[in-house]
Amino acid sequence: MNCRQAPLAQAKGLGSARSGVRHWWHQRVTAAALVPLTLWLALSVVHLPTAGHAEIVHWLILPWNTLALLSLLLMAFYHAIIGIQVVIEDYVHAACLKRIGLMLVQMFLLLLALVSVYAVILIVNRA
Amino acid sequence: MDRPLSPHLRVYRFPSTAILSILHRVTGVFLTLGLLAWTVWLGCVAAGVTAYLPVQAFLQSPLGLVCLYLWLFALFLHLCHGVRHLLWDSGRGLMRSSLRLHDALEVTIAVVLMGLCYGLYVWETGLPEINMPLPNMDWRDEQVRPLTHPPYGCDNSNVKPGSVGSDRNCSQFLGNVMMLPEMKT
Repeated sequence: MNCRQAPLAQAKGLGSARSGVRHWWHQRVTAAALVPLTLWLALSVVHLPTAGHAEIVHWLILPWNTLALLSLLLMAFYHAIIGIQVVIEDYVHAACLKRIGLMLVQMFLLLLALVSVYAVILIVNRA
Repeated sequence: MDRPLSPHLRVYRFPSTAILSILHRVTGVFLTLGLLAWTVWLGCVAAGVTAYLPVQAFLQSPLGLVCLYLWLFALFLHLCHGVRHLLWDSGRGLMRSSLRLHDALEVTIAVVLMGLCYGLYVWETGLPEINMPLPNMDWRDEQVRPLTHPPYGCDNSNVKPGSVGSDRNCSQFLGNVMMLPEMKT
């Protein structure tokens, strides 16, 4: 992922020896994808307090809503996983604690992502 | 040597860009916690109607609404600052002159977006009911004036004209009503 490097840096062979740019780039791509999805979610959430279970299921089983929610969940969880990684890397200084903390938090978020996607599939499947 | 050292963090006033940058992180972590809440919410919806009832009751309670709108505001702040990060990455908006302007702009847009969301909610459901206490005043000081409708907050449909109402809150108004000529019949 060297396409974001300046030509001079590319010629001199500068930049991260590992995967620094990829992380940064993925954060930007998910951010851009989340802009429209977030606005859609905000508009939907406004109706949430008044909606009962049946209305929510009716809303969720519309194909566009299912797809939008699933892509929102995937994007948001990925965005959160790489975002939290930066926060932990910045504020946790002990190398051992940093590694374990990163693993635990990222595993937990991955698990949450699986649970939420599974829940959406269950709801759509049952309705 | 007890002189303060030069980069002495506590004496600096945070510029608004720094505050917004910190807020971007704080809202990011807060929104990640929100993802946990939304996963629980999805699980409750998947668990069925009875499992969802307490969740809906919470979302309709004042505390639930406050949580929901705090989350929405954090979402909009993070969104607006995130768009600005994308703008910075494209090499724009980095001039000193535009920093302050964009700071104000992004906060304003976040507030407006949240106002629009709450406005939409109020438009659909009506304003929240507020139970106003009756005015605490002595009826003897009041001029007797004809009442065209029953006093607000009083249910005097089961009170016979001419009798003093048993409801303590309404007796002061009924005292006025009793003296009206059209009510004497």
